[in-house]
Amino acid sequence: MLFVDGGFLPFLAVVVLAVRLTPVAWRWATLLAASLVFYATFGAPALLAVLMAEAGVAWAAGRAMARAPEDEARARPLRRAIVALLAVLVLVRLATYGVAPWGARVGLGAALGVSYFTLQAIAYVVDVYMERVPPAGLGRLASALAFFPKLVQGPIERGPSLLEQLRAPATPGHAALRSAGLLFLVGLFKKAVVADRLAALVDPVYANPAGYGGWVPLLATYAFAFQLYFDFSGYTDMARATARALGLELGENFRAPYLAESVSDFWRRWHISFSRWLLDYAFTPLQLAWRRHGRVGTAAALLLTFALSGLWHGTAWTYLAWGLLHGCYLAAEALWRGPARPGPVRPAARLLGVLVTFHLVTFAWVFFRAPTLGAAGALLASLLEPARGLDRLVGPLGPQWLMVTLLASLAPGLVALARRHPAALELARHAPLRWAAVVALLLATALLRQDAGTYLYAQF
Amino acid sequence: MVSPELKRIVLGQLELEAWELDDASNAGTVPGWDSLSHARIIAAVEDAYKVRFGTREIMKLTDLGQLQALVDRKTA
Repeated sequence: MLFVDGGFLPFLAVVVLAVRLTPVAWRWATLLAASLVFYATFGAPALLAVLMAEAGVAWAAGRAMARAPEDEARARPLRRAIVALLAVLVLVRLATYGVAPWGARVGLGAALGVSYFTLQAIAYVVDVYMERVPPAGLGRLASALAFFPKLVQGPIERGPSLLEQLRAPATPGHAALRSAGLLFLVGLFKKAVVADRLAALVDPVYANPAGYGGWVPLLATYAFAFQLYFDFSGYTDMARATARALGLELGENFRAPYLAESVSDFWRRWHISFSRWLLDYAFTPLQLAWRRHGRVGTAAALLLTFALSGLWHGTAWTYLAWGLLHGCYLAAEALWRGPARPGPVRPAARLLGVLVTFHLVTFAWVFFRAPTLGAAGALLASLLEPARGLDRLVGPLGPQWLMVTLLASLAPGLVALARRHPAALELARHAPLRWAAVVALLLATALLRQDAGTYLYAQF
Repeated sequence: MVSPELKRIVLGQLELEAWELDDASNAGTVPGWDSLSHARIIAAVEDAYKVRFGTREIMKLTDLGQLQALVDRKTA
């Protein structure tokens, strides 16, 4: 069941009610049951077994580490748990890619959610080892790993955040429920109106790069950069809204990523929960292990970390190329960047940084989106040809469609800008105006939505 | 209490001429102290005090005061 499916909101309403009727100390159990029902709706019972097995492995490792008297004895269960969790992830991935023929027999049609809860389970065992979190009970840990708002696509909650909240989830009041409703609606607009409309400018070009040339494939590539952002950040808004309605807060995953002034800044703003995970559990241990090699050691750690990040997205060469490109960008920054200086940066330098970073990131998206390295090469080569194919791309859509899509794409950014202005905040105090804005958003979503029926990041 | 020697090493690695450092200083409060420069600082501290830290010891550090305490433990 996806957030945009008709059955989701009734399901959520039932869960909100059930959680309210459950004593606070047992709400984790109601949420676990709801999460298992939610996961079961994807029709892959083997995934439920994988989820519970990973919870069991992480829980057992946490207990073993808590009982171990000294460092070396604590490291053994940590290593075993990490190997076991990664082995499960690799096996599930092999099965779902059709490499392992037994995958179809056990009902593994897609690895939906496994990559996300596996990273969360690894974070838990490392955090227990580092004494950042105390070992959790099996039920609460399973509930945190399975928590359905973030199960399929994150955010990757780690550390004490979700585990602590599950001890005693809050009972959301009117303000929290209203804020959750609005956030869900904003997320739905971003996903079903903006992202799914932009797909119409992207999919035909990436399916047949040879049929287009010049600035037309460039337009499609820019459109993909924004499609992916609106798709994923829209999903995250809906996930956070769903959690809020249940009395829990999930972390932010995006912070205006295309306003980043460097690639390292981009990774502090894009898929934040995943980049924080990479930083804490992959890059930092590698960098510290190679610290005697100075900047070269740091650059090597970045390259390896981002190669792994590419492979986490999929085993296709295109994902590896995407990860390595980001690894190269960051390694170059680590090797040649001077020390940061306190004080303001000139606006022109900031603007240049934003433009250069956006184009570096967008260049890498070509490899992320193209089905093969050959298709990525063909698309990049087509940029150098005379413009062609515009009629075929936008002709069937029409000028009205283009105008609506452009306005819809700009709307979330304009609203975010307006909210910084004191006059807009003053206007937002008036209840009739607030309700008018909500009704306008609701109508726009209902009239303009073009569901693709899937989420780009759910495949990972 | 952070020693003048440790302050000198940290400022030297961050190429900062003058910045107030205390026990609570960390990557969030000192310009240029990020994940990239952190490993350089640790390596420079190890060289200066002729000690070696374990990965777990380093990853548990949250501020300069804790780094000072770790150095004091290793050199005691």
